[in-house]
This record gives sequence, C-alpha cells and structure tokens, in this order.
Amino acid sequence: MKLFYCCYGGAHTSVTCASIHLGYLPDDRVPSAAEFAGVPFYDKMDNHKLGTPVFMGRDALGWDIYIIGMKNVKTLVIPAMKSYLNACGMDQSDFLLVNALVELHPITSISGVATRKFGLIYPGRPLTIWGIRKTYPKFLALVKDVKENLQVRGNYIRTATDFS
Amino acid sequence: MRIIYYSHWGTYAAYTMAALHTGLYPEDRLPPDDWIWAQHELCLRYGEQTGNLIYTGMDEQFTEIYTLGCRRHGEMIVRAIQHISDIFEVHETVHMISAESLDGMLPVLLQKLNSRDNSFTKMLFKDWFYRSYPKCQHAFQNGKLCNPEGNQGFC
Repeated sequence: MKLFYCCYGGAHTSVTCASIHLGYLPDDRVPSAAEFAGVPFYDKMDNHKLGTPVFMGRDALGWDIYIIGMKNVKTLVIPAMKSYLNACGMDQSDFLLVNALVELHPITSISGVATRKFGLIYPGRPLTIWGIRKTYPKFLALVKDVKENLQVRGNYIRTATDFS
Repeated sequence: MRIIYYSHWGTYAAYTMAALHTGLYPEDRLPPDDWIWAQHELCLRYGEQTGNLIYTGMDEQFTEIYTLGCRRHGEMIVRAIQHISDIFEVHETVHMISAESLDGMLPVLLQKLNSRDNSFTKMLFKDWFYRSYPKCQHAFQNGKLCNPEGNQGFC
C-alpha cells in the first residue's frame, strides 16, 4: 500500500503533508519554525531530481508514504507511471496519489523558487516556513481527509474480506 | 525486459525507432508508403496523448517495446518510471532510450496542424519521415553495435 503526496517541487508542501501524516509535525497546532528543522527532506529536493519519489515512512495503517515533485505536469507524469504499472501487470488498487498543492501563501511559492531554483537558502527557507505556518490549517484539513479516507477504505476492505 | 523509446511526442522518431526495433520497419531501406501513412494516422490520433505508453510489439528476444511522449520532461519521467519500477518491485528491467534529438522541429508544426488531415500535412509528414528515417536507422544500428548479443547495453 503506497501513498504519494505530489506537489510542484517535492520540497515543501508534499513534505509538510507527509510529515503531518506520519506525525513528524503536530496535527493539533501550528508548529514552531524550529520544528521544521527536524523534518526530513524539507527544502531538500534538487531540481535535477524532480520525478524521484522519496520514502518518508510508514503510517499506522501500514501505508508507505512517499513524496514526489512533478513540476506543473502531473497530467503527464501520473499517466506515465500508471500506464507503466499497467504494462507490467501491477495491481494499482493500493497505489494512491494525493495532490498536496493546497492554496499557498504567495510568499511560500516565491521563496520556494528562490531556494530550489536559485539556491537562496537564506532568506528563502525561513520564508517558506513562515508561509507554510500561515496556511498550516489547510494542510491539516487535507491530511485529515486523506487519513479518514484511508480508514474508511481499510474498513471497507476488511468488511469485504469478512464476507468473502 | 521492457524498452521504452521516448521523445517529445511518442509517435514520431520514438515510434520510428520502436518500429525499427520490432522489425516492423526494415533496417536497410524505407518502409512502403502504406506504413508511412499508417504512422501519420497514428500521429493524428495519438500524438497529443503524451504520458501514455504505446505498445509497439516484441523483438526477437521477446522484449516488449513501447513508445512514450514526454514533451519537454523526458528526464523527469524517466526518473519517475525507473523509481516506480523499484518501489513496486517490478523484477523485469526497463530501459528508456531517448529519441528526442531525432524528432527535429517539423513534428511541432505537424502537431499544431494535426486537426487537418490533408495533402499538405501528408506532404510535410512524408518530408519529415524521409529526412528522419536515415537518422533513426543510424541511431538504431549504433545502439545495436553497443551490444550485438542483446539489448542490455542498448544505448
């Protein structure tokens, strides 16, 4: 069971979602800027590695959580991955992709480009954190929805197995 | 093993390379006109459908050959497919071969005109095919020379 949080650069929004999902970041309050320093892979994805899925951890339900950056061409990358898995005859029922591009504060987007594209770690990184903290409730809502859906899905599969 | 030829569009040079690999197209001469028009038809129908693998056939070693249109994002899609292959533990290896340099500029124009299937677009396509085919033949034969016994070293 694999779940991929997808975003533009695979460095900020998808990492934040995956971190909330896995408990690296709190789900009941806005974390401090210092807490982001402990998040693995935050603001780390290089531009020349875009498209590479990164394993973040396994959640309580047994889902492997990955992050992936797809620039603005997820309509190209997702069909490519899915059609490849189809060609290989792989079961895709346990392969989920979640769009982690929530509506961001413009500062997050601008500073994200500054750090990842132009290498301006300072002041770029602190500004991305500032922007993400501003919109943190949106991330919490997204991850909550995802977790609820996974829970319902798990219950449904368990029920279906019991009946069979 | 699977081999995926990719380029900006999956139906131009990438498809020509794949057709050469599977033996649909002869290595020593141009294919008959009917086959060229068939590829033109393929471009009209599926040219815009980038991101979806197109199955072309099998070679004599039962390697499955596909083509893929990646627009300007070939490198990123190669990484995505290769990693997804590892993550899902696909045991068969996948080789991705770029045909981007063989496409040229004409396919861009042809795709812009692709709603118009007329003698002008056919003429343009034939012109492109005649120019690109020797390059594809050359690239394919060079690739084979890397490892004449198999596809492992296809480059």
